[in-house]
Amino acid sequence: MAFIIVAGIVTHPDVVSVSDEKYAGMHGALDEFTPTIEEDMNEIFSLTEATARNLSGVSMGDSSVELALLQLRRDIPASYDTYIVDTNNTIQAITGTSEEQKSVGTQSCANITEEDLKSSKNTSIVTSFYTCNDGKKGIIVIAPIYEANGTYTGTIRVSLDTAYLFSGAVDQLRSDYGYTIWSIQQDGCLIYYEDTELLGKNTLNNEIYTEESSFNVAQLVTEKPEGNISYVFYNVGWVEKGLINAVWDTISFPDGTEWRIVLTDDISINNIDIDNEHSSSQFTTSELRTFVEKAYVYAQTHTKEEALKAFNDRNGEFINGELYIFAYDINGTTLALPYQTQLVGINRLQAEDITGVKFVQREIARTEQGGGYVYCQYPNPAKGFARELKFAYVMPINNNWFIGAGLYMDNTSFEPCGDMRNKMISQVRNFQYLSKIMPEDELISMLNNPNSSIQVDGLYPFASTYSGTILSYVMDPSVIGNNHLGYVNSYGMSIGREAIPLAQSGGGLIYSLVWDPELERDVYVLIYVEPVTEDTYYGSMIILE
Amino acid sequence: MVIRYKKTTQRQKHFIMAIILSTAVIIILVGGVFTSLFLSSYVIEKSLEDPDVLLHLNIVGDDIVVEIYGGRRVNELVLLSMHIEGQESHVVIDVPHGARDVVYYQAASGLTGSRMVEMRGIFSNGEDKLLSLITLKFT
Repeated sequence: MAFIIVAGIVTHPDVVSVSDEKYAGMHGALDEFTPTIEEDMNEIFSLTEATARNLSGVSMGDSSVELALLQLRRDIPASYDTYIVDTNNTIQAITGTSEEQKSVGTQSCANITEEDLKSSKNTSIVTSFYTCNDGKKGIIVIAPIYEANGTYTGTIRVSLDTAYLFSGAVDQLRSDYGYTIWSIQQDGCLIYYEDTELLGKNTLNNEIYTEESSFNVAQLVTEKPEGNISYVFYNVGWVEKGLINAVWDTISFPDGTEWRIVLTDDISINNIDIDNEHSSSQFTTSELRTFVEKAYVYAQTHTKEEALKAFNDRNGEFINGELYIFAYDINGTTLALPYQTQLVGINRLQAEDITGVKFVQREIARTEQGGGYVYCQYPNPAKGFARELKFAYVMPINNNWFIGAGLYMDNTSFEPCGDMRNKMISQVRNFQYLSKIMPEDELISMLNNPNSSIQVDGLYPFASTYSGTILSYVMDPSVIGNNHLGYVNSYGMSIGREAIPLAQSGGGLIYSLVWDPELERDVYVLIYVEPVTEDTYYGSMIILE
Repeated sequence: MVIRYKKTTQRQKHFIMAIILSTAVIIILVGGVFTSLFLSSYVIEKSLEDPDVLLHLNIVGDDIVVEIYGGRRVNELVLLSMHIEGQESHVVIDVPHGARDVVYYQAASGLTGSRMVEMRGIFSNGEDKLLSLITLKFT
C-alpha cells in the first residue's frame, strides 16, 4: 500500500509539514516502533554470525550442519530458509522440504563475494529486496564462514520474509496508536507495507505510478534520513483522495544498508464517506453462501468474460452492501475485485494478511476441495479499509478459476498476536529440530505431556500423520489415535484436510474454529504447521479470543 | 479516334490470376474462421444457457455434498452416479424430486491426495449423461 500511497500522490503545491501537535504523537510512536525492528534485525545478525562461527571447519557432510541450520531457522521465525553457499555461490545445504532440497548444487540468487564481505568489514550483509523463482519475497542476511586459519569457505544465509518481520510490531502499533508503517530501501524499493503483494515494487519508477506529480514523497523519503510531511493520496481502494500525515526515520545496519521507516496515520482512511448501506454487517453466513451460489450459477450460465464484467461492476447485482464477489484464477491472479480494481491482473498468491496468513493460498486450497468457508483478515470497505477478520465462502467455477465473497465478523476482535505467533512458529520448528536428535515416539510422548519442557504457555501443539491419524493433541488428548479427516467444525471446515496439504507444501499459517472441550464450544484459533518427517506433520495453535 | 489496347503479356496474366486466386482463398479462409468462431461461441453460449443439470460438489469432512442449482432437465433427474478416481465402482444415489442437495456420506473417508470425480445423471427416460468432471483435492 505504500506504493499506492506514493503512486497516488497528487499535485499538491502547498506541501506542508505535519502539525506540531500531530507530529509529537506520531514521532513518539515511531520512536517506540523503530527499535523493535532494529532489535529484531540485530538478533538475526547475532544468531547468523554465531552459527557461522560454529560451522567453522565443519564439513558439509557432517550431521551438525543440518542441525545448525534447523536451530537457526527455529530461532528466527521470520525466516523462510537457512542455507549454506560456497565460494562459487553454489548452495551446499538447505533446510526445508524435499522440493527445497533440490536447490542444493544450484546457484544462489544473491551472488555475494568475499570482497563484498570484506568491504562490509566482515559483518553480516543485508541484501536488497528480491523475489525468488518460487514467488518468495524478502531479503537475505548473509554472514561469512571462515576456517580457523582464516580461509574463507562460503557464507551462511537466512532468507527473511519482511512481511513477517514487520507485521507483529505493526499489528501492535495499529492496536496501540492507530498508525501503520511502510518501509523502503534507499533505492525506493518497498520492503514492507500491509498490502504485501506490493512489496518489491519501486516507489520511484514503477509503471503503476502514472500521475504526474509536482511533489514526490518517495523521492523525499529516500533523500532524507528523517522528516515529516502531509500529502494527498488515494485511499486503499482508490476510491477517493485524502490527506495523510507521515513521519519517518532511518534504520542503519553495520554493512551500510539503510531502511526508511515511515509511520503514517489513518486520518484520510477514516474520513472516507461510507455509504450508510455499507456501514454495518447485516448478513448471515447462510446469506453469504446464497450470494456466492447466485454468482456461481451466473458464472456457469454466462461466458467467463461476461461473468467477470458483472463481478467487477460496482453498480451491478453482485455487490450488496458489504458483500461483493471476488474472483481469482487458480494461480492466484486477480480476476475480479470491485473495490480494488487496480489489483485485477495482479498475482496475489503470496499476499499475506497482517498475521502472515497467505489468504489467497488458503482460498485456493479450499476451492480445490470443492469450496466452502475460509477465514482471513482483509480490508473492510465499510470501515475505511481497516483490517478485519473476514469469513469468506469460495466456490470453484472449474479447475481454472474460482469466486467467493466474505463477511466481516463485527463481533470478533482479536488482540495483536505477533509475539505468540512467533513463539508458535519457533515451537513447531523446534519439533523439526528435535525429530533429528531423538526417536519420534519419544518426541510424541513429550508433546503429549503437558508438563514437558517443550510446552509453551498459551500454545496447543499437535502432531498427525499425512493420512490423518492424530499422534498428539494437547487440547484434547481423548482424540489421539483417531483419524481427523472427517472432523468438521460448525462451518464444515476440516482442519485435517486443510492442514495436510499446507504442511506438505512446506508449512504455514491458517485460521480456523476448533472445538474447545473446556469451553464446550468452537473457538477461533491461529494454527501453524510444518512437515517434520516423511509421514508426519506437526503444528501448534493459539486461541485468538 | 483510335482505341489502343495495351497488350497483356502471359506473365502479367499469371500475376493477375495469382492475385485473384489468393484474394479468393483469403476471403474463404476469413469467412470460414468467422463462421466457425460464431458457431463455436453459439454452441458454448447454448450450453451455458441450457445446462441439463447445474450442480456443484464439495468435500465436507468425510462426506461429499452435491448441491443442485437447477437446469432445464433437473425435474427429470432421478439418480446421481458418482465415480472417484482410484475406486472400482460408481456410487448411485436416488435424487428426490426437487432436492436441493444430495450427500454421499463417508464417500471421502480415508481418501487423500487429488482425485478426479465424475458425476453422471440418470434421467427419467433412462438417459445417462455426464454432468460434472472435476478434480478434488482430498488433502
